[in-house]
Amino acid sequence: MATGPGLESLVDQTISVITNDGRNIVGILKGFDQATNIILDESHERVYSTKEGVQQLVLGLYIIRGDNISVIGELDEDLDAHLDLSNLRAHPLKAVIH
Amino acid sequence: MVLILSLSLPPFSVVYGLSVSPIALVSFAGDDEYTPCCEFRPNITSNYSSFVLAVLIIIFLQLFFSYFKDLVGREVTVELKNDLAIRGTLHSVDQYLNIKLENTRVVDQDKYPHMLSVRNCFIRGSVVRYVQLPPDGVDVDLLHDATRREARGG
Repeated sequence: MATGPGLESLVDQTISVITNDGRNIVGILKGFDQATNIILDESHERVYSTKEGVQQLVLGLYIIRGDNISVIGELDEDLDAHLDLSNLRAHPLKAVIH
Repeated sequence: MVLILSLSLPPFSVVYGLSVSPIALVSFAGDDEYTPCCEFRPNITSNYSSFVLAVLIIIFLQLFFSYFKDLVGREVTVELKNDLAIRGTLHSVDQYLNIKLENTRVVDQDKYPHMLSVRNCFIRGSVVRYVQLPPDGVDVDLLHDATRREARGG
């Protein structure tokens, strides 16, 4: 019954994680567990703002605790290459309120 | 009146912060005298109504899990607690009501361009506020019956 999140198909793929505090972290999924804790390699954070384009901060190898994760999205590399991040203006995501 | 229930579902201990082992939970309600017949956890407040509520929560976790399993393949919109709304085809659900969506797009893409290059996603159950279903996807009578049966203690 307790099989855990079905993230096997996403291992070694580039994923985009949205955390509970509204951060967007992109990286390669290396591992996960039943509590949705994840290991992210070659990760960087995409900081969105309304004043300047998207900032990318390099983070490296990260472990993100499962209870802080909202969404794990499979990043489509082709679609991502077509994005012009330097011209993208947006409000940062809101934090999760339970 | 003594109630005995054996629980083995992991979500229960998370919800109530109790350390539950799959032995027994014993609740008392206004007993003047009782004979302890099994092991009990003394940190449970002997409040009958909160115990019943706990049981109902466990039961409903299974009911909605089964319900969502029947909805796999339908187009749904998931609204999250950070106000993000994601539309997609329901691919799978699990016991925590984590949702996997395919063919996703964010509802207000101009306001939330954060997921423009994401087409499949996994949404953690704890951050879901609403799951908006297609109106013809809900068999209200069937759901009513299932809920009535569950509430009755079936």
